[in-house]
Amino acid sequence: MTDDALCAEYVIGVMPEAERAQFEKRLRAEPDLRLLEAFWLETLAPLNQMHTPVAAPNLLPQIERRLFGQVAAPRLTCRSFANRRGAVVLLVALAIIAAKLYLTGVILGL
Amino acid sequence: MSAALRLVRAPAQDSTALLVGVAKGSRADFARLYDATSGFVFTILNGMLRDRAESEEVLQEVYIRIWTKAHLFDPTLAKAEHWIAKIARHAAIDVIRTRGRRPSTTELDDVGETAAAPQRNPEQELLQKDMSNLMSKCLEQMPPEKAQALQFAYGYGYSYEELVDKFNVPMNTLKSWLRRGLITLKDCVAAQMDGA
Repeated sequence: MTDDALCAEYVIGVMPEAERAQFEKRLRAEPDLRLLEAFWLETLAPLNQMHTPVAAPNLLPQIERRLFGQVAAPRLTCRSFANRRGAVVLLVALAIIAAKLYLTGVILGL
Repeated sequence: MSAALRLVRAPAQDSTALLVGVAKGSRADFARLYDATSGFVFTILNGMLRDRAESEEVLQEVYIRIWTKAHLFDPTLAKAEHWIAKIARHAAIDVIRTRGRRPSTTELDDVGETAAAPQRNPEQELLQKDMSNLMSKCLEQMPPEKAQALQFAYGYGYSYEELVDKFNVPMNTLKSWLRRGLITLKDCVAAQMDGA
């Protein structure tokens, strides 16, 4: 079988597992084979759109835990940023109210 | 373009830059890549495996493979979404081969949340899905059984043996179908690109 046909078999997925492992070794070593692979990946890519779309669950924390052994620090999203900003505004407002109450007490001699 | 295709469109071009960042060990780019591509990947997995829980397990495996194999990605040769789709499809095929069975008709009807598509089995989906115009034209030029064999192999991870059973033809005939079908497809795509 030609390398072109082998590449197509590999990209389609009909190649048995052991042959696939062997072929992937060749891919790492042979630039011309990688060119053929890229051609078939691109040619057959429209077939990736044949399935009914579904929303993905957010499994990133589990994946990161498996890869890095710890839960990643929470990412700063728009929502968390808004929450933080809201907390800061609330604290400043409380501080202003407390200062006014204190100054009012001082002025009145309480 | 159908609503379904708009929903499942391939990730944006900057996925390639993110994947290059992942190859350099950037965890931030890895997280952004997950956000950008997980819907695309999960759609492929759910379509091939027909089992949401199993697809979720494989989704994790796919991103672990992406992290560990990102250094093998060459942005001068391939687009990130094509490389990622290959990783996803091969991971799904590994599971299909290991479990050694196909979902029953009932299981096919229970596939997770869908985008308002009443069709639920592979044959119907193959007929009704809208793919790119170019690919559709090229598949139409093939004899129907060859086009179907190609789509069952690519879209549902059918092995040669399973295709032989499904189409009830000898192995040599089936292999010949696929090879000739691929040559037709290759020539057709090249001709369409030249004519564009």
